[in-house]
Amino acid sequence: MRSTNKLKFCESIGEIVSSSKYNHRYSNNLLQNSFYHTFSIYKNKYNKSRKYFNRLIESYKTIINLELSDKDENNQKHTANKLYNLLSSKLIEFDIDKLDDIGIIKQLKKNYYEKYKTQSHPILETNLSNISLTHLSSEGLIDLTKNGDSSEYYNSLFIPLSNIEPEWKFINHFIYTDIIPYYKKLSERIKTSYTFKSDYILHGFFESIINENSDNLLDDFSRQISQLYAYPLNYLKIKNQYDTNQKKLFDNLIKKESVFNDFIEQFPLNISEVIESRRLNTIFPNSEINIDKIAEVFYPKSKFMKDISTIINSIKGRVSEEDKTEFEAFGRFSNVSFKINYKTDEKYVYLTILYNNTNSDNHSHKENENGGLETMRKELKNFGGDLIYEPKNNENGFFVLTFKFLIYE
Amino acid sequence: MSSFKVRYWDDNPVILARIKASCLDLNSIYRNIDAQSVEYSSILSSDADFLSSFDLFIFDLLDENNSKNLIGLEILEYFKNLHVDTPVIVYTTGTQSGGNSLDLHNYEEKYPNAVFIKKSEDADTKRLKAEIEKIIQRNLDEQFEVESDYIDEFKQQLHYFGNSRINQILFQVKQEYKIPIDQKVKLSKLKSGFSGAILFKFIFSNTDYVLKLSKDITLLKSELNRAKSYYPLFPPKFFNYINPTEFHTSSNDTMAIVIKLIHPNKTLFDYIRQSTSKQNVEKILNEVYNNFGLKEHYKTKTKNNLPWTDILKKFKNGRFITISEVHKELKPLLINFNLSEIQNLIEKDDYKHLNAIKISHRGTETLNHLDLHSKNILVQGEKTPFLIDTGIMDYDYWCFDICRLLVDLLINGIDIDTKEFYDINTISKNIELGHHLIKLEPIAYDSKNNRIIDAINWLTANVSDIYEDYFTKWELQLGLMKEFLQMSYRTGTTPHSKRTLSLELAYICMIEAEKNVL
Repeated sequence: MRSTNKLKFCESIGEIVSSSKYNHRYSNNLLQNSFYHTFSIYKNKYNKSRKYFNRLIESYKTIINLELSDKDENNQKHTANKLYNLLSSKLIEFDIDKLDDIGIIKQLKKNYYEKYKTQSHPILETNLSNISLTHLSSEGLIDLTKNGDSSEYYNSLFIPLSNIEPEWKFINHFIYTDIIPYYKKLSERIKTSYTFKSDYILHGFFESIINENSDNLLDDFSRQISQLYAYPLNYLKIKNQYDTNQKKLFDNLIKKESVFNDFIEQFPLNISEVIESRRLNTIFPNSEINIDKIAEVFYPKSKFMKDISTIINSIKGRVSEEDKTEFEAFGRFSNVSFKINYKTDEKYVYLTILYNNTNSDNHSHKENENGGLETMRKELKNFGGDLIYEPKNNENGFFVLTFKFLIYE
Repeated sequence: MSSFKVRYWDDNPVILARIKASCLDLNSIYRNIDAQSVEYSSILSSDADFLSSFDLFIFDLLDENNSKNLIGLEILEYFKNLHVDTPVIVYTTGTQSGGNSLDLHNYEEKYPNAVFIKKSEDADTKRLKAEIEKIIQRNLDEQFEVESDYIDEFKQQLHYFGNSRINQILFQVKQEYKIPIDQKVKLSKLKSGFSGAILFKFIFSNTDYVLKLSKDITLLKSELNRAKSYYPLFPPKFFNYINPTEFHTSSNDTMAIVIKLIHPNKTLFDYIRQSTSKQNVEKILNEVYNNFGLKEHYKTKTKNNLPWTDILKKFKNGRFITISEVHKELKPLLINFNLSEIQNLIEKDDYKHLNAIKISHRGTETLNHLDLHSKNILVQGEKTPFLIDTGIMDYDYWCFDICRLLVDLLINGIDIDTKEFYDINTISKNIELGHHLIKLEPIAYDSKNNRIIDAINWLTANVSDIYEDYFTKWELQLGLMKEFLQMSYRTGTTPHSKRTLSLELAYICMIEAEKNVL
């Protein structure tokens, strides 16, 4: 390839493969070689030019529509589809190369709105839900094992699978073009943040769909889809793995209220809304909260809700026994003076929370780096912000805590 | 089951396939389920009679393919206007054209015949299947035939539970015992207790079973659980098979359990009365207590020690009022009974030497039957005794079981089936008899009640041996006092004469116990 005209290869590969049909089969040797060279171009870090990929995608549109072999040991169809998806994904990566984390989240939200919020039955959700086969009970499976395609249950197996390959192709392509490139582009800080990794438990799932090993979930599921499309009764052999994969993809990614969709809906954070919903005015009758017209920021809503709880718990641990009893009985701290205000500059919102009448023991615990405030600081840093505080109360007896948030604009 | 007709419509062929699979599953259990998909237009053009000939409709709300209308609501409204009350399951994503969510709760209130299920929460169709099954169960054919002498009483019981509930339960019982689906269960009525449960007998594989049905599910569940956990702890010779399965109606308002019926089933009470000799009475009581019977059981199945004042705990904490009310009612017939002294002992743990401060004695808790009267012991053939009504078994004060048996024999046994049983003029004479019992002295024969007297005498002569590790006379006498007090308010089964006798004897128990405590 080094000495050949790469662009010409990209342009012509579809045509070359199409014309290699002999005895109702396409040349396996030629296909294997083409796939190999395509993958080299995809992997080569010097190939930053969109034009190679545009041409390759056009070529692969031709290739994936050919009647390729889908035998397990020589699954040309599966490889061609995978390459088509990888190339399409790469093209999106070019488009979004300049986006930062906020830009990526905005684009994901836009995609989500277009795909899910404009129709009564979002097609992605319907398609993946349609191919669930868990409605087949043990009675049904026993009958299918016994009577095969003459079983009364056969239609209940066959109908959901009748269009499974094109339906899955559509979903799979969506994952490769509307999700994966964006996920890849998200910063490592966000991917490994507490919210993404532990609250939403998405990190492991995404690694299982982007890795290039043999246990890639999408490859695995695609192979199972091919098996079912070719012969629905294969379900009896692969039921457990198929059901698990279908459910993982549906719950984590594809359904309207999937874990991932819920994650992207965490942004932007409207600070006023959260503070109002936590009824801080009631918890602290003696409060001054000045947050009118505060800008929306880049931080997960659910995490900020938890942070507020952490602060309330910290206050509870530091007030007098009497005040603690009052809080437990009536849900309020009458003796704590509580203030929230903010200032802003071009890039950040600085939200300051002050409260008094708590003991001034050191708030930073070197031996316990995972303690409340340090964990909050780490998470804020993951989303481009920070948490600023002095370990002790100030000279007026107030503990002062400033959240630095990246503005979501 | 005669054909159960289901018609269903959805705009998505996959959902139609799922509904079909659910109906096939249920058909394998209930048979004769005729389930077919239809076009919604055919539903909307049918008349009320035709629509009412079906047993269930299942349909989607939104027609995504053609009209984009909320067809499901149109059908529900159509049914409402035609007064068609066939059950409906609405199987829906709960959204309308454009993607907005529908408030299904509102529709549930508006159309009470319809159940709404969200498809997104039911990919495995479990909920759908459960809802269809509920409706099928309400439509089951008669699962039983009546074979009973008490036909009127039977009808009354059927009316109380409703045929549908009994059918639902029997359908499951038939499956449990693998009785062919088309075979009717032959039910006959058994005498029921006062717990609100009713008892039927049915025969399967030459074995008689009791079906116990109750609307008090908590009570019956607890009965079954206690029986399951405690019954096996009783000596194997008393064991009677109880099926561990609970049978419930679809709306979960009635429950049943199945117990093997002991047959032929003479109660210990009848056995004693009909015995021809003292030896026969003693033989059966020996069988109950000795030869790996209850004596060894009480010796080994023990738990904690309880303060002696717990013997009367049933009347503590405000519950003494029951006794005060009985006292008010029976006052004209009473002779020596002293309410305030009894109240003092129960509520303040104080009657002369019977004082909680002076006596700190604790008695052993044994695993008791807790309703061991002579009709809850069945005798099969000449010797084998069985325990029945095992639903309240539990650990409690060691003397409770034998006290109940003694008091039952004395109060319900003496003069039974004679005019004297009800005669208030026998009270004084019977107080004397009872006094002997309380003092554990033999009662003399009176020619009419000799076998009952044999039984009482055997028990009072052997009680210290039966409970050799725990026995004290005064604790036993307080146990008898508790039983006599309880007997005094059994207004439904015990005549005034006997209830008055019970109160008097309770008082004597207290006096005797106080004498013996030192």
